[in-house]
Amino acid sequence: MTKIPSQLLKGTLEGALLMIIAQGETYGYAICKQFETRGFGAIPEGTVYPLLLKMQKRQLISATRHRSKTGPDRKYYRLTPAGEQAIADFVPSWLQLVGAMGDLMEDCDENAQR
Amino acid sequence: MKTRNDEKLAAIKGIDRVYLQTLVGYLRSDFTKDPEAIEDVIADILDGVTIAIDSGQSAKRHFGNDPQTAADAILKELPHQRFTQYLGLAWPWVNLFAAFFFLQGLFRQPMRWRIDDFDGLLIVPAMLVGTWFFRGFDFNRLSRRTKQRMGMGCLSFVLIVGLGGVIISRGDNHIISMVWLLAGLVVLACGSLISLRHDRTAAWWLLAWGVMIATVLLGGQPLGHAASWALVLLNLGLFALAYTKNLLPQRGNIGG
Repeated sequence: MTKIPSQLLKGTLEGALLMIIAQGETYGYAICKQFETRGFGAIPEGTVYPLLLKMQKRQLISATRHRSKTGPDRKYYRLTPAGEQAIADFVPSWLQLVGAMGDLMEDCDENAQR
Repeated sequence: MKTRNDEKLAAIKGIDRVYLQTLVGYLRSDFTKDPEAIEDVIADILDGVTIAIDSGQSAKRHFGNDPQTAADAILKELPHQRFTQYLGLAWPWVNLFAAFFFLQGLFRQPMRWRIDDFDGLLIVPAMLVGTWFFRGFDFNRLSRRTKQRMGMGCLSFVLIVGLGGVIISRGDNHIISMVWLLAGLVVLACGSLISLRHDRTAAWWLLAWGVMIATVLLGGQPLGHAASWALVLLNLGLFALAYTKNLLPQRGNIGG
C-alpha cells in the first residue's frame, strides 16, 4: 500500500476522525487502529491526539473517562450534535473534491492515450 | 492524577520509558498551561502507549517519530494556567527569595537593608527563567524551536543578571527606607493570603510576614531584632521542610 503523504492527509483527517467517532463511542488507540485497517496507513497518536483535543475544544466531540470492558479506565470520545453537523458539512465538500479530481484524472488519462 | 501517571510511567520499561519520560517531562515543563489539563493529557497518552506496547508496538512507533512537534500541537490546545495557579507555583520561591533578602540585612550593625542586597539573589529568577527556555533540550534531536528557545534563555539570563545587576549597582549602598520595607512585607502577606486559598502551607508564610509587619508597626525599632531573626529562619525552615517532604505546590496538585 502506498504511504499517503502527510500534507495530503492533513485536510481530510479531521473529517475521517469525525466519521470514525460517529460509528460509536471509541478511544485513542482504537481510532489509530481503525485508520490503519481502513487504509489510511499508520497514523501515529501524536498526530491524532492534538486533533481530538481541537475537536473537543470546538465541541464537535465530547470525552468521558470510564472503565473499559477489559479493565482499566480510558477516555472515550463521542460525537456531539455539532460534530454531526460538521460531518454533514464535510461530506459535500469532499464529494465535490473527489469528483473534480476524478474528472481531472480522466482528462489526463485521455490526453496521455492520444 | 500526577502520582497515578508517574506510577503508570514507572511500569513501562526500557527504551519506551526513556521516550515517554522525555515527552512527559516536556509537557509538564510548560508552566503557562493548566497543570491539571496536562496531567489529563499525559494519562491519555500513557493509556494509549501501554495498550500499544502490550500489542508488541514500540512507544515511538505508536506516538510518532517527532514527539516534540506532537507535544507542541497538544499544548497549543490546552487552557492556560489561572493566576492563582501561577501564584501557587511561584510563591514558595518568592518567599525563599524574600527570606534570603531579609537575612542579609540582619547581619549588619545597625540592622539595614540595601538595594544591592538583591544583587546576588538575581541568580534565582534568572535560573528559573532559563529553565523554562531550555525545555526540550533532552529530545534526541534538537529542533529549531528548541535552539531558538535556548538562545532566548541565554539572553534572558544575561539580561536579568547583567542588566538587573547594573540597575541595582546604581543604587549601591542605598538604604531601603522602612516605608518600602513595610510595603514589601505587605505585598508578601497579601500574596500569602491569596495563595492560602489553594495551598495550606501558605498559612505559615502569612503568619511569618504578618508578625514581621506587626514588629515594624509596633516596635518602633525597625523590625524587632529577635523577631526578625526568628521569622526569617522560620521561613527558611518551612521552605526546607516543604521541599524535603515534597509539600511544595507542584504542577498537577495545585487546586483551582
